[in-house]
Amino acid sequence: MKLVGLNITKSYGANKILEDVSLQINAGGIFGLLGRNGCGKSTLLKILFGSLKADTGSFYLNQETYEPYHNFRQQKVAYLAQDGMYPRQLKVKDLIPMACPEGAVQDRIFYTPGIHELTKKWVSSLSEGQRTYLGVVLSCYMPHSVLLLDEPFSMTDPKTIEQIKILLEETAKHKAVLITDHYYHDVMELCSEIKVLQQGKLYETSTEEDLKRLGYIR
Amino acid sequence: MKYWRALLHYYLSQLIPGLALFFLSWAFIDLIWAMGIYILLAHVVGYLAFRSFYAEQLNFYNNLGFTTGRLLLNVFYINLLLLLVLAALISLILWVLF
Repeated sequence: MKLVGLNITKSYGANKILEDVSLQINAGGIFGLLGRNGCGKSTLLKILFGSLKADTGSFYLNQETYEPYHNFRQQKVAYLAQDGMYPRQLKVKDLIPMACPEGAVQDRIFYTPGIHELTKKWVSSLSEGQRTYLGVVLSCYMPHSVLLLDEPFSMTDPKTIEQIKILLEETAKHKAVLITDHYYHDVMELCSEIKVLQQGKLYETSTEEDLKRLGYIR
Repeated sequence: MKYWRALLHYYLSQLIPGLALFFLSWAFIDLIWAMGIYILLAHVVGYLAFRSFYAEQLNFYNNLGFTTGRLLLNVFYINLLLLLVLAALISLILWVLF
């Protein structure tokens, strides 16, 4: 499973958000995307998902041309937005069958550590961290072959972060996974390939020194 | 329909603006026109309202395979079906009474 984006550009007026960005997300490892607030990480994810149109760029999924807008119907690429995207006026036990109708998949979700305690709660009553965790779990069990996760560690406690890492490592064995988050220690520990988005361009990185050099950390 | 629960939830979430349009049309014009306006516009008004209040939830429906067009079309069909049933019921009642 492989998602490739080539020469992606996106501008809002004179403000160039993405300049000739190319990336490849492979199954078997996790692609980490770092970058400062407002640098265009979410824009890039939305373009790959299909909810935002790039000015230019070509996309391939398993060597076949991939048109992000048509992704929705085909359910190839899933996107977890950083703002809660799940209906809040539902109980978790009702949301799970809504997102994953297959009984066997629902069972696996209900037996995922930490989910059973949430099932009787309303989505609106969950903490930000619990909502994030629920979102990651649901995304991992959806039928899509590529996952784009925007801040999957956001507001979660250390134990939950560990649980998310285990889940993502397991998922990445058979799906291509891209994550973006500001918990860079966790991203660096988890990801096999890490890039920093800065001033519209992607830079390869593997150490904290690289992050300092690129101005992401001090 | 694999994701009928999600579609039902979307339908109920966007229902109120469409119903408001229906009752306003009924109040200011008449019932037949209100039904026509409801059929033609309720799904669009509902979608616009949903996008205004729950924009982030559209990602969830997109993940489940619902494009904007598919959401609109499904709601249109449901509205059409419900109004046909309602019209048939009203006709039956009128026929029985008169």
